[in-house]
Amino acid sequence: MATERPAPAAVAAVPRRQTFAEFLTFPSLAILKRETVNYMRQRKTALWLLLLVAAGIAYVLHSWPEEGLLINQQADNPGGRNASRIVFFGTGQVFLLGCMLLLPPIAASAIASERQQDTLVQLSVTLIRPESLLLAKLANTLGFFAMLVLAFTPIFGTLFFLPGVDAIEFVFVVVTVSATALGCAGLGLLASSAASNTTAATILAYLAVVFFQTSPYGVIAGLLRSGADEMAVPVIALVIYDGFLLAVSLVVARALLRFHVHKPVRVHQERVIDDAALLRVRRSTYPFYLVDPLRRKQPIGDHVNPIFIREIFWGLTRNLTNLIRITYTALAVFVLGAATAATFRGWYWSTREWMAFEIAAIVILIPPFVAGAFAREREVGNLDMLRMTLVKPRAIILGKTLGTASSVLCVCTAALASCVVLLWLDHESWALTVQGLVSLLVSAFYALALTMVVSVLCGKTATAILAAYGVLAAAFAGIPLGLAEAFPWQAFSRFLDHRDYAINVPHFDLKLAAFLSPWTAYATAEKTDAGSIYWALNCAVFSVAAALLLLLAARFFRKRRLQDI
Amino acid sequence: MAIVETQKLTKRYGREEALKTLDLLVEAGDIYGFIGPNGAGKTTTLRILSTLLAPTFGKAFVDGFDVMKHPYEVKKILGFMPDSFGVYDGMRLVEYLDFFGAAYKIPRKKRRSIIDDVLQLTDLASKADDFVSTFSRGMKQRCCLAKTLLHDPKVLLLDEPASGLDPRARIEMRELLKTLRKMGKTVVISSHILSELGDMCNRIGILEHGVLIKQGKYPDILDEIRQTREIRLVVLEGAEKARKVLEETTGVLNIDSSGHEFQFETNLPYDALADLHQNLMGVGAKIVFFEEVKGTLEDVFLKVTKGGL
Repeated sequence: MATERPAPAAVAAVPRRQTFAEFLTFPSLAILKRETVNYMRQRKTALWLLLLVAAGIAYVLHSWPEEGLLINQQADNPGGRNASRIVFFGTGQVFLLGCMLLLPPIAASAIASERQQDTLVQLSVTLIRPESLLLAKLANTLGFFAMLVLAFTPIFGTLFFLPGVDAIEFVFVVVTVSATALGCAGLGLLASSAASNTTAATILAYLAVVFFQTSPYGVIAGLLRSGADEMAVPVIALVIYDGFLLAVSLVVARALLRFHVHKPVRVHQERVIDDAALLRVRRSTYPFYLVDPLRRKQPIGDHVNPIFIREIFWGLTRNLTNLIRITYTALAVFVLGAATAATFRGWYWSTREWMAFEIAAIVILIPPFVAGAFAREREVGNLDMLRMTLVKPRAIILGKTLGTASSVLCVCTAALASCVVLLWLDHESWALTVQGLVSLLVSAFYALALTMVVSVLCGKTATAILAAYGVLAAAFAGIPLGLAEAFPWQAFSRFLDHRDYAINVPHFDLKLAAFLSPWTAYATAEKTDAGSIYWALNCAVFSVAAALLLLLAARFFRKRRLQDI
Repeated sequence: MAIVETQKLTKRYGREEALKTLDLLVEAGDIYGFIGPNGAGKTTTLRILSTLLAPTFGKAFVDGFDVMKHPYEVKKILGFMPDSFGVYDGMRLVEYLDFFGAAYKIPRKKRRSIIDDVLQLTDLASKADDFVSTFSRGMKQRCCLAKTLLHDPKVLLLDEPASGLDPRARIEMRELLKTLRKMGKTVVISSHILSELGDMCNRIGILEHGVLIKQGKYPDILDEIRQTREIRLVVLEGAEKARKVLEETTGVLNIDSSGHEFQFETNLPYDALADLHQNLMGVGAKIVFFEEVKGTLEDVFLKVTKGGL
């Protein structure tokens, strides 16, 4: 009969229950230290800090009143008070937006990347408990964000010159930003615990943040400009809401971590179906399949681009179910929106606004479809094998572009359907609708090409998606708005004023606006008689630019040693 | 005739010099064992030869084509199986091979029969309709090898093809490589499993810290490394007499005995060894074995390399 052996001294030394202090520090401190050191070692961290400091300084300089701030007169100077409040609350809003944009991908990659690299298994067999792991990851995510916030110290330095801001308002803004950061980080960690890879986790985290955080953000962002008395209740409500969100996220994430450690392995084997009768039955059961995934695929033709065929038949059909859902959703949203726009023309949504919204929606949808084109191949280790084949870089880029464009085309079809509704309900604005549709296609092509370049340059899909959003934001909104702010353009100001944007700029060169992005071209197309000509030229220029970007991507693909050790 | 050749091949990663003026020479039909410790530069060399990496300095040729100037021509005649690789999700094996067949411009009419052949060769025919992503490590290795063989390359670069395989899969992989050798392929194979390389390689190159410290025919290197022969002697009777003979014979060194078994080093020529054998029999030793202990690649590797990173 077996007798129980006494535990070795080393094992006996490990306490059976951790104290609270140990729970918070040991051994998750190891993870925290490792990740912090890792962040600090990366060049991109310094780059982020530099960029933010530069942006912060630029923002302060831009918002500084022309007459300057006289400290001793400041308290009695309404202009100075207003300037102070604009700088301070503007910064608060930037922080809130920063929480929603930056924290989801950082938190989403925290656990999903461990799972993807199979290191989560190694962590799970150590003494680190799931809750310690989550807290360490949370601390690390918030630490990274705090580091970025510290980069804004120059802006907060201006608080010495801001007597227009009450101390309690300062506290409210800090509490709001902190609560939002906690909520976003919690949602990101939840997505990270649930997803198998960083890409899925990032998309899931963004969706969760959009769903759970934008409404409170809208309320709070509006209240940030009001007085301290009106801010107290919503801020407290937000703190409770985000605290609850964080707690629920962590509890669910902890439960997920207990049984979702390994990379999921697909064990089911769906056999190929060659029987025509069986395929017909399946066709009636699954009528939405463009190509039945179980139908035996024909060999790839001799004179076709194999990359394109692979993207279509294996990329598109594999994600077909999700794609169909996205298409149907987009169709419903676009058609309903278009109908509303046409019905309430001049009151709520005009055709132009609606088409501008559709352009933005398509551009926002592109990164998840396209950013993984090369980044994913590189991530899973397929790129070398692709580069060893006889398919030339240009053909690879073309194949990937056509393949991903086909995915995007499904959503564009929804936009086309909404245009039909617009034309049916509002015959008068047919030119505007057609212009909108063409602008939408040009914008999609331009966005796709930009994302393709990003995908070639990035090593990870999640990074590629984030970088693509940054580039697209700069190309479609940042550059036009930045230039409008920087240079005195009257017409653009009028255009923005018309849409209730409070940007006061005296002059504007319409010709230039038409060439800033496909969106500005469409938005300003009917401002003058020559607007349509500028718009047409813009479409041509951006189509050519997109083609050149694809050539650039091919060049990067050929020249850049993508999988250098 | 050299089919793979490098001249002063150098590769730097920042300050780190991964390859230092490497002069590699592989002749047509060779099974070239490329060995070295971790971080020696083996993978870097193979990646440069397969056009995936640009050297910092020097040249590399495959079948006379400069890998930097004529990568397309090189890709036609080269098959590269990387150390680590991924597979496409949602693709069945036959579809996976068809995709790479198309990417290697194999005409559609011929492709199916070629795929059948490589599936037979790699023993994957029964898995043709299975999803590649569900394969075990060993099957993925075979699948990658099948993909590498699709366009019937003259030269095969195999980077650690047997790593992570179980003993049976290793044996099967070794048999497969022997078959390829019989088919007249030139194979450059990097591996840590030296015993397996010793069985099948006719030439070896030993790389350490980016420097090719030995290169040539395997038996020649073995002779060069080993200044003495190692002989194993087993006797049934007369062990003491045999020991005395061995100790009295000039040129017999380092005698190691264990009961009826002896192992010793000697620099005696073959005729002197024959005399020794006679002497042993003459004193009444009943000899069961009198044989040379063959050197292994491990011996060569340990003697040539210094270790350390």
